[in-house]
Amino acid sequence: MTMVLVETLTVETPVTFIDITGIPQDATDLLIIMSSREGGDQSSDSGFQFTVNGAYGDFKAVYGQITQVVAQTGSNLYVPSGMPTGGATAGAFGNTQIYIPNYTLSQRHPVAVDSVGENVSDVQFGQKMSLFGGLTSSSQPVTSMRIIYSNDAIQPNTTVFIYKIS
Amino acid sequence: MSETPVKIVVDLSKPKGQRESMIELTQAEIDELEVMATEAEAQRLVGEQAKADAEVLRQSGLDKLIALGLTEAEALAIVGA
Repeated sequence: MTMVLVETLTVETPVTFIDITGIPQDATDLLIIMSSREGGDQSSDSGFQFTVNGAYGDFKAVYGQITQVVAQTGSNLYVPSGMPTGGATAGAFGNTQIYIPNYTLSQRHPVAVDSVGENVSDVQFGQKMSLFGGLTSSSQPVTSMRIIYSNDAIQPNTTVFIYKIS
Repeated sequence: MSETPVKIVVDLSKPKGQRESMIELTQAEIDELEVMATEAEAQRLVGEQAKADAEVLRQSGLDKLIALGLTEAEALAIVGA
């Protein structure tokens, strides 16, 4: 197995979208690793959304705080952790991995996401973790992804590592 | 946000060092963003209500088990801490 770091992106000023385009088609699997933070207040959610080839998918998510777990299904689920807010205390940055195997094939792609973030531990649902998976709507090879934080902005020093695996 | 929101575009087809660009969102993207924010907030509220409902049921079950004679530790071992 060969795992190649294609690009490292560090956010320098607040942005709403991170668009990754021109994804090389010379590998098997795609892995996005992200250390992220958003700028809303601590009572806002800490989730983000993403699209593949400009479209959402059919996703299921399991997320919660310690013993409280919720399952949701939808076409435009947000990943409800991994992007702590401006009021976060212990965990200034959350972490997320997005894994798409066989991304160059012309088929709907399974996507697996795991994510953990901490907002403020003494507020309800302050610590969040999620497992998130499903199929992309697009059945074309994955050439682009968009990571979206819709309530405020993705903050500086958020870092995205893009790997290809073959 | 009062200023026009911006995005980072990372075009991996370009050589390293020339891949990143900052672009203001189009009006269509801003409109889409507002729809996304509404959907995300709706999902968050549904999720938090479901968690609150689950907590009420959990506490109700715990109370009934304790009323049957179990210790709180025994009841928690069944329903989870």
